Amino acid sequence: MTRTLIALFSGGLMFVALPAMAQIDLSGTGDMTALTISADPHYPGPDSIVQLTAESPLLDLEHSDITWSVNGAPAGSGQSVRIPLGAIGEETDVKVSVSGSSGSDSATLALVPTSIDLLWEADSYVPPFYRGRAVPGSGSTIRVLAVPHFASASGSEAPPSTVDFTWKLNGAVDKAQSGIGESSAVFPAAILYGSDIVDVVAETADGSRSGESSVSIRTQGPQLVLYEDNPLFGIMYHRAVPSTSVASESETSFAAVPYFANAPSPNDPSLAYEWTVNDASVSADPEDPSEITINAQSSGTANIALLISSPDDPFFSAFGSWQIAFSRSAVNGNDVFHSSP
Amino acid sequence: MSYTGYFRFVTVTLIVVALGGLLGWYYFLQAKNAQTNAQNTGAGYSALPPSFEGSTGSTYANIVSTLGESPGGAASSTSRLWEVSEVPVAGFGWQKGAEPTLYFIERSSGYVFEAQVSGHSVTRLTDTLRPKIYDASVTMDGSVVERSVDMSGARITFAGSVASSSAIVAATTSVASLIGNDLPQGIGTIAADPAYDTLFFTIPNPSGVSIVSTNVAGEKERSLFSSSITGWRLLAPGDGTVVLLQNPLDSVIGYAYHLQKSGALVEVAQAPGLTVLPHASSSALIFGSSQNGSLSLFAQSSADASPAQLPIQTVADKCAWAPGAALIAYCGVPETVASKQFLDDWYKGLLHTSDRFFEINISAASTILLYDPSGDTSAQLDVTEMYVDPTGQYLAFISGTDGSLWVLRIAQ
Repeated sequence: MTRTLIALFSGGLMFVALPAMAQIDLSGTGDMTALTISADPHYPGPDSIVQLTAESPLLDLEHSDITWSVNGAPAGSGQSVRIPLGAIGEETDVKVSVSGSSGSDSATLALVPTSIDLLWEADSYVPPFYRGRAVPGSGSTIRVLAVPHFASASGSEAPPSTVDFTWKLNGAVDKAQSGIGESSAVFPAAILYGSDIVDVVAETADGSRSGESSVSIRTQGPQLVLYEDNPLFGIMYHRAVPSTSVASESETSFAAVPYFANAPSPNDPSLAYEWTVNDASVSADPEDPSEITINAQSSGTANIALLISSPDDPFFSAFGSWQIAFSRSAVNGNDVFHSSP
Repeated sequence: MSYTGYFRFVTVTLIVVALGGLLGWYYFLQAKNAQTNAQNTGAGYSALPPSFEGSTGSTYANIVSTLGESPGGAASSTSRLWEVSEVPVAGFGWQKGAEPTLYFIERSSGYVFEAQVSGHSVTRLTDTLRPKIYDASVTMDGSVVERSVDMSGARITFAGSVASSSAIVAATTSVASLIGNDLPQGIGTIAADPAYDTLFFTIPNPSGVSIVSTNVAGEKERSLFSSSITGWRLLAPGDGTVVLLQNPLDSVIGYAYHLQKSGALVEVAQAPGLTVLPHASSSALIFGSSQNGSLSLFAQSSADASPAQLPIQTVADKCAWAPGAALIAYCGVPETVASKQFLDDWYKGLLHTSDRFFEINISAASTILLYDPSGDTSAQLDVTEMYVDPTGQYLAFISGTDGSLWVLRIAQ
């Protein structure tokens, strides 16, 4: 994407003072040579390199002398130059001068780096006190927040409540969620293993600052993790049960946590739990289907398997299996829990 | 036989029969008593009642016994490393004073314990039972925040302090109550400023969450910020301010902001898989990045300085600032990073690290190995929460492997 600014010419003098991020301004008097400066990227960020290109449909730029200056200092020659920008809000004044047989002209451009932080999360399930982020699963919703950094010369940033936001989902403008002060938006997650591209363009009310940011958000499948539910300590979220482990107690309860499920809790009615122990189906407690208690009568191994599905969502499915030895018996020991049918 | 002789015979016979009957009854009762005792012993009725003796109390000792270790941590202590609690700990905090002392919260009971580092002694301070505390924090003046979940799975939060000595003057033991208030239900995340009487927490609102501050009593509530993003981590470095870190996600850009009094957000860092550690009395910052199984740690001596990458691979969650103006920090550094989604897997408890300890000089962007625990303990030390005591002599940390609490003397 490039940005084009129109320089105005009158009596051979350049008198343009367009603000950065302004788009096109054809006001003014005098002959128009339509000398333009395009910038790539369109919304340059802080401490970035921006490529500036002089363009004009009327001037023969290839056979003209073109000189550039940045903040009054020479910055190169030729139709294009690359210049470094400063920090957010730090203005860089660029001037290009063209002279040749086809005419002379000059144009100026004030570049002020901006940035927009695009924060997102999903409303999918994660356990209480989980320190990580919830990512979208099948059927969940994505919340997005834009934090614009549109600094003035004094360094103060424009508050988001005064900024005009335009939200897009996969390129389509969402007018209902766009507008002044609309710094957040909500979108449905893409289908399982698909991605959504959320884009926001923001501009201050006076047009002096603008920017754009986008993010690609992938929808993931649920992740099933098993924890011991200790009668003293509660669910041991800090220590997941590995695929092969040894239980220290003859009676042990386990809690299944379906990370990123589209449900407010593991025991939500929208989730169906199918537990098996040593290939035999075990009925889940209707009040607490995400938990199972193994009461080993003697030493041996419990092969626990769990399939979680959702009657409401055919795409939702998570499976896990764990081999847990009780009373220090060796894995693959006797089946002490029941006789297989 | 005369009447007298007959009478004597009958009397003696009755006496003999009566004695025989009593003897038989005696043996019958003895047999029944032995049987009852055997049954009682089998049922555990013969166990001695709790003595309620010892500085840590019987509950602590019982749990330690269940874990198969001796209370006090002496077995695994060295002159430099002290295992303060083998029992899982929900949180801890250093206390003011010349003697390095910390309070910690037992996860199973919510009891508050005091650990005197110099004497390696542990004393239970409270007897207010608050079971299954998942998260806790302690300020430098002894205020305590304990977090758990109710039967419906909703988060509940309690804030209070150990009753003062005047309140327990009539008590027969030195154990006191934990007195305080339940904070509003549904608090998402909370930070207790270690040095100020201030709590920062998120509370749900119709459009997301509000970030508010109160004192520890839950009073003087002030709304600081509202956000549609609900997953924030709040960090209160100890100067009355708060830093907001969006909950990290491995390999995805995260942001951290200093929340201004005006409610404005001033960005302090951004990086994939971002973790941060703000400094209490300056704008210095340590932040980490976790991306595709690679950990990077950066340090900034001030907000205006450029971040310098440090030659250790860890996350800021494993680091702590030393007190004072000197920009010194300590970090637990994993020997290996065995996952492409380290942060995500670590937060889920799917993996644990074996850490060594490094000292960082932020101004010089240099690091030195402070301590390698492998020579002193076989325990796998996975630093999850670490703080340096106010005198700068010790650092304490919880090991995520088992929730145990450790103290390391910094000087060799």
